[in-house]
Amino acid sequence: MRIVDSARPKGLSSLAQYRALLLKDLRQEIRTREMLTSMAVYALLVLTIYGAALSQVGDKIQVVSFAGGLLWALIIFTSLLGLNRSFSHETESGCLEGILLAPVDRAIIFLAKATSNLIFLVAVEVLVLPLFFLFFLSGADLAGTTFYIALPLLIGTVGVAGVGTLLSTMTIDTRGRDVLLAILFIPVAFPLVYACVSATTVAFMGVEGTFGTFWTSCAVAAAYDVIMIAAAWGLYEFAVDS
Amino acid sequence: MRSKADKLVPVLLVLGGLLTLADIVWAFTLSPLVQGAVLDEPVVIAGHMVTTKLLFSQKIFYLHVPVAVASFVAMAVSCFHAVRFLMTKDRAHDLKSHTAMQVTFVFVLATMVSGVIWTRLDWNVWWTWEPRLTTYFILMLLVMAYFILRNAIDDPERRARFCAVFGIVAFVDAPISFMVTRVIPSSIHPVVFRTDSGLPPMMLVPFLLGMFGMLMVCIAIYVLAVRVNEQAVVVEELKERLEERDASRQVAVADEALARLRAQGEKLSAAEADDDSKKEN
Repeated sequence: MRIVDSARPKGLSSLAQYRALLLKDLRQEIRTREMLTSMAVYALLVLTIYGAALSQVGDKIQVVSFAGGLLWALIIFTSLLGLNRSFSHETESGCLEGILLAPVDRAIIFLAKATSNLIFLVAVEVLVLPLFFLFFLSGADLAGTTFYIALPLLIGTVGVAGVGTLLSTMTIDTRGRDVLLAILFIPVAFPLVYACVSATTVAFMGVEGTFGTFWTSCAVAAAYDVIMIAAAWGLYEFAVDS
Repeated sequence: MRSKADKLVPVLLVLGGLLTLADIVWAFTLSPLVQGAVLDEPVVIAGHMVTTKLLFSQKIFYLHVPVAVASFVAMAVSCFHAVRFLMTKDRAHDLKSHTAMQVTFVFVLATMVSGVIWTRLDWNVWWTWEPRLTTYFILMLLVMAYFILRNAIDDPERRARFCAVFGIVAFVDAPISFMVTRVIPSSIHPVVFRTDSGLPPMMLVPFLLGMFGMLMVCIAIYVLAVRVNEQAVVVEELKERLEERDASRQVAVADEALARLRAQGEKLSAAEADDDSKKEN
């Protein structure tokens, strides 16, 4: 909260406002570690369920062929949990009201919140990805192109953070907000997930000559990011309570 | 409240119904049987080869496509009014946006039902995650989510604002669903809307009849639903006013009772004071 106190509206550039808001979120997370811990533990639990789900398939089925889908299901469910949390401490002790009272452009609030969400999501992915490989792909022959999955992961996470921030802002004060966020978020994010799963799977399989699909899917996902983030940016002032 | 559009409603409804009926009759009598979806190459769905034999099930085309197009049009209207609401904050636009979404839902359900019947007969599966089906399914989920969001917020002003925002975001999927058969060539859904549609006149005419008929029905339902929802708002306002009046009457009764009790109390205390003075004497 110190940041908000020191923020003088006069002459404070948009960039400074953005930085102040972003640093506030990061500092809060570093002190409480509320979001990262819960997301990481939840991701681990999803992996455990995967373990049970795949425990009977033995060696007959190549996990590599649907590892992309598993990975994205993990990311989507974990992000839903994180996005729900990301505004919970804003509503506590009137923090959001404080931010809204400050003469800050709503679009900057959106950008700061989306960036902090993006940073947390990436942090969780960095933690969980090695575990995913360890649990499910340690015995498999990985294709040489596996490291390409970083691109769809990044594009997808940017889109999830952008759309998720808009929708989780709208669901803060609604009845049954945890469920409502999922109901709104999953269909809206579906085209993105579809494209990202497609690109990730191509990278995992690494079949010669299929990389056209990889780039097409990445382009579709990137186009989705641009459209959705532009829409969210423009609509954010209506989504946040004034 | 009543405008020219209202007078046109019965006309539109009847005309639209007749055109659609003509479409159905024509489709089953005069139109030739065709090969299912025209494919560049045979496609295997769930182990069944989708062949190019003559398919009776193709008759659903004459209803399925007009209904689907009507659903896209209704959703576009909803999105338009959502934008207008955010620009003007006029509650009438929220009502129209909401109503158009309700109409969309009806047509989306009809499209889904006719589509599922068609996939079962034509492709031998109830459902397949083909791009058009997938995106349209997502469209249905978005429309449902819109109503769930609407029910989750009590404050009318916020409800209108949030629903408008979500309506606009949700509409992004509509052009995707519409265009997906063009973008992904492997899609087994045929592209119907193109300049060289390849439909012979005996198929094109009933299809267009159905198209216009269904759009007329759609408009008529929309205008009627707007009136119904407007009346609902009026009823809601009247109810509130009635409750207020009821409450004010109760307050008046309570005030009266209080005044009576006070007067009684004063009388009693006066009598007591009287008694006291008598005792002293």
